[in-house]
Amino acid sequence: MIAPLRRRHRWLAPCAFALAAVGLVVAVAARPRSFVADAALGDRGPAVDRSALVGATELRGAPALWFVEPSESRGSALVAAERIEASDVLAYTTAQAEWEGDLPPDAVLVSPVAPLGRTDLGAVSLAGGDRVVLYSLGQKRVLRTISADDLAQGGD
Amino acid sequence: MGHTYRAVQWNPQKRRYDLVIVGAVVLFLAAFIGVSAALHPLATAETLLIRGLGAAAFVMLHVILSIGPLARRDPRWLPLLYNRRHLGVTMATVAFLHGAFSTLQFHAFGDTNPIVSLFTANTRYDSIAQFPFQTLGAFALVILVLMAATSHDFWLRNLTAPVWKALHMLVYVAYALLVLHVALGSLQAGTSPVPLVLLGFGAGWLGWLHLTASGREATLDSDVASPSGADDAWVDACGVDEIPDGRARVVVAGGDRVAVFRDGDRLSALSSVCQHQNGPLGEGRVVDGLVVCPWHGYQYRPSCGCSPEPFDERVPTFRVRIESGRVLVDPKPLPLGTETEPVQIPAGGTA
Repeated sequence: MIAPLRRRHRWLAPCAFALAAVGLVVAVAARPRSFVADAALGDRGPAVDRSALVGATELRGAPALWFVEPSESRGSALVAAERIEASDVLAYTTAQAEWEGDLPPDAVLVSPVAPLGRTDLGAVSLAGGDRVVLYSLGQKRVLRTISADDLAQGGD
Repeated sequence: MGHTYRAVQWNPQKRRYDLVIVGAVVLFLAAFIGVSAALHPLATAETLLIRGLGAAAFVMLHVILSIGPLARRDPRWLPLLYNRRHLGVTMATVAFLHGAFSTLQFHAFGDTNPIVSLFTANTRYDSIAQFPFQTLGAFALVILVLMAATSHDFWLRNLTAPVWKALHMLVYVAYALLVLHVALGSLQAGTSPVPLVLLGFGAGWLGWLHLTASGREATLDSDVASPSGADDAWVDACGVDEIPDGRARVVVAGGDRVAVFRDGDRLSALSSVCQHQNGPLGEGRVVDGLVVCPWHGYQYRPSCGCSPEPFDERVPTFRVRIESGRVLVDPKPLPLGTETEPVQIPAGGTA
């Protein structure tokens, strides 16, 4: 009658827990190196690994913010060397230099931004003409707009 | 048991149960939001509410998945199992609110449909740290809402218990998706060990509970009744004295579990599978001459396997006889509703 159902239950539950356990271990292994966070709820976090700054350019007027241009092997990235004190920070790209209101009408969401450490931004390239807008969803305001002009200084 | 369909067949126990559930959810949310707001003053009310609802639903899911195996270990947990569906519907509702508020907060203010945005805003399936964990939560939510929507006895009866149970086994898939949703989402948001320890403990607890329960079930199914030695297909279930009065001895006969009940000096054999939710009828007891399922109190007459009027549930019955103090069972079930006279245990327990 329900013997097949019992057999299915007997393997389905252990498989689900095994999958959950493996996923948990993998996620924990990935956790210390790079995290996408809600700044408001995250803790202070570790100091940024200096290796995250290799190949990065310090942004003009923001000594704690670095940018990695995309290369053949990796996409671009934003690195916060000090904690961004804002809640739910999101990165958008836009082609516009000026606009009215919070976000430009053509803004495209790229990624949540780690308040501390590295955030991968894929194919976004400041040198290629993209502008990156950092927007705090929690505070409902633009924190900073980043363009190629900000790459003029420094380097590592 | 229900003769007609009603949204909820309230009774005092169900009212108390539901009040406790609602009170616990409200207290949990208040505590979670209060503590989080104190620890993280920058956090917005929306963020705290979203996180609080998600945490509440996840904790409830752990409780729900613990109830079944705990009730099999110790009958004192059975009152929780009695109304487990109410807890499930509450959990699905809280999870739905978490999903709806998250979608509104993170996907409703763009020029893309929020549902489309939920599945297309982040497509980094090749990244662990930035994996689109919201998609995992969305699929889990679909399962939980589907289960809640079909939780009523109307669906149980029309889908039939085996189909309904197969559908509701998807809760394990939902649980795995939710662990990944939390591990790849919230856990990536900080380095505090507290959420990691809690998640690890919850998953470990449920894994241990279900694996040990699975082992016990396998042991039960290995108790296959041996041939009686007589010139027929009857099987030797047990000795007469091995069945306590008012309880049953469960054996595997004909490929499934058969419960041989003793009511005073009479023996009857019924399927050990309740018609309602396929509960373990053989772990029930005989009360006022009726076999009562331990899960939800469904009753059956030992003589024919039929529920008393006006109810119409029926379980298969099996022929029984006693030889040399041994209880023999015919593994071939009788046609549903067949009236058979319970076997009288002779004085001294042998015949």
